[in-house]
Amino acid sequence: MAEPKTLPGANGKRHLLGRLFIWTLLLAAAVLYLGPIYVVLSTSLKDLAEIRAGALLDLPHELNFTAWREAWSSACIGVRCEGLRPYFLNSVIMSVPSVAISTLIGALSGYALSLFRFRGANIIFALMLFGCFIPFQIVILPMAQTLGFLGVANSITGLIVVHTIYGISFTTLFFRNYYVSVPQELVRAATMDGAGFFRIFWHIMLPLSVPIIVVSVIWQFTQVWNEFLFGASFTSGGSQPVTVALNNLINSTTSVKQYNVDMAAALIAAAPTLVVYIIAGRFFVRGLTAGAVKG
Amino acid sequence: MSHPQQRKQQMSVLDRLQRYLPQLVVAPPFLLLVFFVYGFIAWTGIISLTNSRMLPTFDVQGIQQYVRLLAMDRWNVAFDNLLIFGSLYILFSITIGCVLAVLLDQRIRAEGALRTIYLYPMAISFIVTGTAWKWILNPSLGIESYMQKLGWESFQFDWIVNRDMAIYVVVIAAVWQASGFVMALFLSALRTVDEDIIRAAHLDGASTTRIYFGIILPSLRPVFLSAFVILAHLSIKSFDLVVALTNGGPGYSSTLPANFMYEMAFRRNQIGLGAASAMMMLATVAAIIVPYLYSELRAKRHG
Amino acid sequence: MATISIEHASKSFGSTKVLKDISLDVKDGEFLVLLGASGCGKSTLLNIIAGLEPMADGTIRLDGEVVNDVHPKNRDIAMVFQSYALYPNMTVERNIAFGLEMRKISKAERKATVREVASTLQIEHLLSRKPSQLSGGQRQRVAMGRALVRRPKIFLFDEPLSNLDAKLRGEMRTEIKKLHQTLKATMVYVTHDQIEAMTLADRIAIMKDGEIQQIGTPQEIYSKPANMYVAGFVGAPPMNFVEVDLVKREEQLGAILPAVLKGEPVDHFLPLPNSKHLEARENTKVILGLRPEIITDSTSTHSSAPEIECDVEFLEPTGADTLCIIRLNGHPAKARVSPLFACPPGESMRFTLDTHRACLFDPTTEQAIT
Repeated sequence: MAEPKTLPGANGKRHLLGRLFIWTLLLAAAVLYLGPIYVVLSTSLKDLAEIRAGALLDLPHELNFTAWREAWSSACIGVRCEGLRPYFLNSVIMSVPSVAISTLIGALSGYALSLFRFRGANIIFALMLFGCFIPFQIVILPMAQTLGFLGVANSITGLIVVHTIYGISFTTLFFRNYYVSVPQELVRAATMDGAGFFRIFWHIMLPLSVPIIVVSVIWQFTQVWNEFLFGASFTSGGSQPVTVALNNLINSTTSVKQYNVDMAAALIAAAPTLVVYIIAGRFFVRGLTAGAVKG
Repeated sequence: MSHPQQRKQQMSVLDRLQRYLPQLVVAPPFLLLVFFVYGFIAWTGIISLTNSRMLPTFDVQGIQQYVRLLAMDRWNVAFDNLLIFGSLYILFSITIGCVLAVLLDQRIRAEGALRTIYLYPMAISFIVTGTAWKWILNPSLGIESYMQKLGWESFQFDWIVNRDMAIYVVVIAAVWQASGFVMALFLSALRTVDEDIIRAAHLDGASTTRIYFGIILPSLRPVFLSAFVILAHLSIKSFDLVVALTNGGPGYSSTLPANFMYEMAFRRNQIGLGAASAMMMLATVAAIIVPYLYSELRAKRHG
Repeated sequence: MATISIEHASKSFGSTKVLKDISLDVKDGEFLVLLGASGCGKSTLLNIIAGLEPMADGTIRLDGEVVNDVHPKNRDIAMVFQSYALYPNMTVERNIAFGLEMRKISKAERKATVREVASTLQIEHLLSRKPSQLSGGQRQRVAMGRALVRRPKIFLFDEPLSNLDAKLRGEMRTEIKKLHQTLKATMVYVTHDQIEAMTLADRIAIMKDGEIQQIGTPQEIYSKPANMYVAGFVGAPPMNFVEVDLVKREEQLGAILPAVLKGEPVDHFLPLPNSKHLEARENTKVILGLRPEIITDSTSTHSSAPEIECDVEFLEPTGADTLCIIRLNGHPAKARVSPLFACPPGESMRFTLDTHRACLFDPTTEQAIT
């Protein structure tokens, strides 16, 4: 019997109409998803007169980067008029250590949880999983007090501590679920060869972990960079991260609204995670779905 | 290369230590978790039972904060908003995500590019999303005035400043952000469906539509459940989007419980009330997550 | 010198007992095969010998010395795994040398030893490759190399050939056997493949449900199975089991074998030789175990054996022999005859039954009657 090369219905007019229908829907959706970023980008390149003329969806008459310059280095946020730059740097200083430390701890504890089925490993796993889902409003009041007690209130260091701690649940789960899929025999073989816990981790597991390290780093970076609640609750003034500064800029009611500066600032704040997404989208998706797909 | 002298020695101290290393390694992060998650939950629970105002006190009074909370219009608006927002957000995100996934599954040549487009909003912070949509939807210079200038005089879209409609604006922005993620979830699940089943169904004479509704989508039930759980807990946690988009307004018409909590705890010196509302949020999340985790972990153990 | 002695080993996972009071001795230089279906506990037993899993109860001695608490790396044992468990990030050379590296052997010595082992296994040309660039058979050799390089006293094999295709499996079987003869090391080999067990083993231990059913040489296991499980597990096609009545006719104890001739039921009387021990079972039912080669065409064996005539339902030619499916006591049974004498299906033919080689089992305990 001849195997049909394409699925039935893959011929004639009906097929063509079907494809047309599918493509129309897909492209319409693409326009809707791209719309906001197009509007934001084009607005950021217009001058205020052009914006006030109300041609929201029109292309800018000329490329005008003044708003970008202003958003980066001179826009007033609160009483300081240095633009987003200091807050952007705050976010960088905050993200790098919290991503690195939580990934490292997550790798080690995920490894310990995955390969050694000790009594209680399941309970720990369940408690960690639940820790990924809690609304952070439940911890901000005690955390505010604890940060004060530790002497890191209203500081980037405090935010690093917070992000590291609440990142561990996620990173541990990423690594645990990854290591569970590594054949047990590999660990057994290494044990027979005379390698202990740390040497197996270092020589065998870590070299295998590149994909999950990328997933974990991207996930943590996106989370930490985009986070708002902790930044708004635990910092003020000069130690705020970029999301909080952006919100202050947008919602300031003091001066004339400079929409082009607002939009440029929004794009600056979004740029790092967008770049990461465009470069390593595949890993980004894996991080997003890792929590949903069974380990 | 045998070492007869090693044979003699029983398990050395180091070897014994090796045996407990996994526990030793897991212990510090686990203790952090116990303290900073479960300890803090208890801590917040205690604050919610006090009359704490500007500073937390530990003078347990009873449940009067909860009584106050449930009687407050502001809280009830926030909770009703959560129900409206949550159900529409979940419904539309899953529907749109699912449709896009099925369409993308039809051997589309530009699949990679389209997928990237649908998913990029997930990489952006809620604050940026809120900022963008706030600008697009503002009545004086946004989409409304643009359409009117194009000649559609009667076009009206002032939801963002409309007391009754502001919460739906939050839904629009949130669905824009999350539906691509749901699409990714479904698409990866669709890719694991056995091709032979589809071929067999075609040979049996079933149409593509019938195959999707009769065979493929029903087999994705676990994905629907995962998507539901993730979106539900995200909706309860939703905070930043409202802050950037409507700041809860007009008035407090588009407040969500998360915003209520922040407002009480950090703006109005009602820490006890804020703690009580945080406990209510946790209870709502737990009501969804605990049964889900329980069934997932059980299924794994028996699987 | 390397003997293994296990006494009263037991182990459970949750509520299931995977090993029930196992005792086992492996002699120096012996090749012992643990044979059984999956889940019978054979791999757990192997892991206990390796020290990878603790026992709940029992003692394990290597060379007479209790090693319950000795770490696997100090037991002087090497193991070959089913999935080969090659370290994917290391070259073949480093894979083989890893055990030496962990034991702090100098680099030069490591290199020399690896070369030597690689040349024995003919994998010198693969040393710089990664495992992902190797075929299944090559990976298998590397896994063997990793075990060999440490020159341990004891080798453990956990279904090492089950991921290979039939042809390679045959070749590797021969190589393992050759290796055993040159090294004269003690080897314990786990498999579910009875052919592997029969061809490799000095002795086979057949396991089921965490218990050893029988230990013996391949020939003993095959011709004198201790119970119906062993009898059915070893041999292909498996032994035919027929429930029969034991009766005495003309002072001769024998079995009534119900068959079918020309569509009609017919009872054959089968005299049983050396049946003194069966006297007590006269007029009871027993299970008669007949391997297919015991039921054969009457022309190929000596004529003193009893003959039966019955209908042939189907034929299954295998090349060297043809299997005739006949009906004994209502159930299909296989007879192995020469292709020259097989009659067409539907007709009847005469078979001789070599009752000397028949087995008898108790229908309730399923143990062999001896």
